[in-house]
Amino acid sequence: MKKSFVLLISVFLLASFLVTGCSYGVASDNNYTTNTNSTNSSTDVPANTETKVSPDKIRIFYITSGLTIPDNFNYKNNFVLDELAKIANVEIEEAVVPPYSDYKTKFNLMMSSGNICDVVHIPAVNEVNSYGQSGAFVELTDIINGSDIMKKRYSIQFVELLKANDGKIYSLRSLPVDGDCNSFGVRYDLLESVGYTGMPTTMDEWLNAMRKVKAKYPDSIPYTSRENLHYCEFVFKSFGCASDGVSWQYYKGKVIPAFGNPLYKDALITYQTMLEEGLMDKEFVTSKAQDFQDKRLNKNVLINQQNLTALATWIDRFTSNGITTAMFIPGRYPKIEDDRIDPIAVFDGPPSIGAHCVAISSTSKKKDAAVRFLEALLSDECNNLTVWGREGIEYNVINGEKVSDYTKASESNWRLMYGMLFGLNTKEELELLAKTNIANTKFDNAGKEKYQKLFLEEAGKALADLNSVQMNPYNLIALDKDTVTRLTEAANEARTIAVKAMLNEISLTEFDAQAANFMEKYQFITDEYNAKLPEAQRKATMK
Amino acid sequence: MSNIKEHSTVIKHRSHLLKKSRDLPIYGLLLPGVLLVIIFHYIPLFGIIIAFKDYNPFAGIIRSEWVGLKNFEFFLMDENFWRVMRNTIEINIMQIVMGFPIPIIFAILLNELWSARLKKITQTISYLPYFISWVVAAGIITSVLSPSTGAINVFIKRFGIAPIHFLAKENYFRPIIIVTGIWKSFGMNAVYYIAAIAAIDTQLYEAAKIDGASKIRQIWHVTLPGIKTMAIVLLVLQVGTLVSIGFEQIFLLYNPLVYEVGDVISTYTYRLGIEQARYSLTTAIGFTQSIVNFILVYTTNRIAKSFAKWSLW
Repeated sequence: MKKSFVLLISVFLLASFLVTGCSYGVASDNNYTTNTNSTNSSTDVPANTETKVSPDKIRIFYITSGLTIPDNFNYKNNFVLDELAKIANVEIEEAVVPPYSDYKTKFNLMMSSGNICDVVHIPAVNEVNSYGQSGAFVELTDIINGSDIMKKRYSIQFVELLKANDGKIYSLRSLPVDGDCNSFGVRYDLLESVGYTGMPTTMDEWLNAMRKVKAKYPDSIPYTSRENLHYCEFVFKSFGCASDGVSWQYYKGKVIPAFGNPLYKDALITYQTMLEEGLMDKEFVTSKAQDFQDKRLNKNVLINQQNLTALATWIDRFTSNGITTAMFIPGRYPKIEDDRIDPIAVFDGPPSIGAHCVAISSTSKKKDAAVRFLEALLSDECNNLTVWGREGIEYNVINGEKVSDYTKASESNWRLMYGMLFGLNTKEELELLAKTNIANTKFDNAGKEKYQKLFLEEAGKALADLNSVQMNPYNLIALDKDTVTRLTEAANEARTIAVKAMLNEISLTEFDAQAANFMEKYQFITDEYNAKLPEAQRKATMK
Repeated sequence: MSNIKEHSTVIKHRSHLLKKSRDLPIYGLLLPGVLLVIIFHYIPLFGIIIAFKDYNPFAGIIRSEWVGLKNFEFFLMDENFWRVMRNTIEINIMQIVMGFPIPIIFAILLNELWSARLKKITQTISYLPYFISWVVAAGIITSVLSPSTGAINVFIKRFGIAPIHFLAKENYFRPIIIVTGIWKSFGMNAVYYIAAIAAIDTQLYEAAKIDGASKIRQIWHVTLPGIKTMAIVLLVLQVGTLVSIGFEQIFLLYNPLVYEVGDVISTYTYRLGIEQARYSLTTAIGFTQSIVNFILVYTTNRIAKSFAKWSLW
């Protein structure tokens, strides 16, 4: 009896082991993918009854770009993707969509598995070019030259900007956008509550505004960031320093490390003041992403670092979290008046070709279908669908002009993620997104009108600042793989020094010594940047 | 005569086969585990060759370019690597020195409890933290140590002491890692010693009592020698991971202010391997770690053999 029992257990264990092993290898096993068996989403899905002759089946990998996606959303079948598939005469066999917080890891894992989707979308230029040079992606130069729509969208300068270090093109990248820039969101309602009737314009005025907010709301945190200094641009950029305080930057014709900026210490002193006075969150160094977002919602944070399009989506986040009095308006960097500042570092300059890459796998058996799909992503239909939606549903045409149905449009904001090659942040999209989200706030009509007017006016000013300087050539420099590895470690080291100085853990004299050591240690990175700068400047000024 | 010999050989052979057939179910039970070890531990050993190549997932392992010791040179020449290695070893040594005796002491104390019910409840509570993931544990630790709302700072503020941002201070960070690591694992580690103590013959305790030994003497002369073997096994295994360290705990708790003392080999490898896809480089690091750990295990085993007259092999 005992023997049979033991035998039974061992057979069961062996069988379960074999079954587990045999279930590996099917791509759709990943829990974030949708496969051919998944159900349709709750949004309207037009019946694709008109099938052309054998549409090619392709698999696509793409990301959500941080947009809010409804529960039970169908990543493989929805009205946008169905239309794109129809245009391209393809059938989406599988859509692999990783969680946005972890997309790079999932992308790397997919690439190393060798089981690569036919079309891959990822905002990671260096990685795509590196994999492309290893043979993972199809070289696109001839394809671009042979495609009318690609030639229409990509000018000579853009084609030049698409090239990797070896002169080849491994992906199409998002077109430069005219509706986005690095900015920050201001809780205008808090400013009004402390007596302001307009935006502060200088750093001192902003500091005074923060003091007033703190005095009125003692529990508030007028300014916050989180551990990687990603949201510390407000002061660093205003002083013309590298936005994260630790990277290298373009400065008056050359590339320098952040610590080499003559106004860096002034920026540090401003942070020290803010921390001492309680205007900045002292716990920012241990704040994780979720803590940071919670504080932004609940702690009357006056200045919220974000790019313009993300600010427009945050309007909705305040509403959906019950903060109905929040009026969230873009701000302009209060550039310090000092001849030592290079305004390019403050305002960045017009964007170059974007970071969203769409590539075709070299192992794809349906390369022609993949090319057609890329062309569909560049089509006018795609642009219209992603920005406006469907005529008669998300928008109507009244007197020849498109008028958005904000309620319906806001239900399908996710469609923006399919505009990856148009850049997700055109002026048209920004305006529509802001108007849609403001329309859903709890303000009365007069309040909504004021909100809309303020938002678009201030966004316009921020965009004008952006375009007041030339394109920043720093963004066009690609370092060698080994240097990129060293750069990551250098950034960590710089961050430690910068944060310690901000929090007065080290004196400014000690900071000077450590910064000098740092710059000497990583001089080779500075040298490589400057060696590649002339080529980047040439690309930045191409017409 | 030769017939008798042949006959006895046949009988031996048959009884050997009979024994084997009786043990077949046991071998069957062993088979999945053996297969698991072979498939997931031995076969992947061939992948070590990636450390000597510039691994290209598309060329595959065989066709990737051979670069020899270039990857090893890269990280051995990187000052940051030595910093993280130093941190890893120092944190592990502190964990061994402070964390090794605690499960032993706890197991002995638990063994001395009179009430079996209380013993069970205490044991259960002690190993519950082991089952909490580090994500949850790190959230709890961050909340408790928060300078504004954390229980510890709220308590010390009552005595007029300024709040301390523990997780942001270099001199507190390592103790926090060690204490929380011990808190999470000591209960489960004590289970091994409790089992070893349970295996000690109770007659030894009776004999010691008859000889007039006090409780402390009994523990010293009976309990500790009884668990010596288990302690050596666990010590050797722990020393064998001296240059490795868990990833989640450090990754979830560290921040820029404590990189100097808290950045360890696993977080370094994560940045290079996962964030930058430098598979060859991280394989080289992992390979080096394995060699060092093996040397440490071998050395510790030899030392145990010399001093404690017992070793793993």
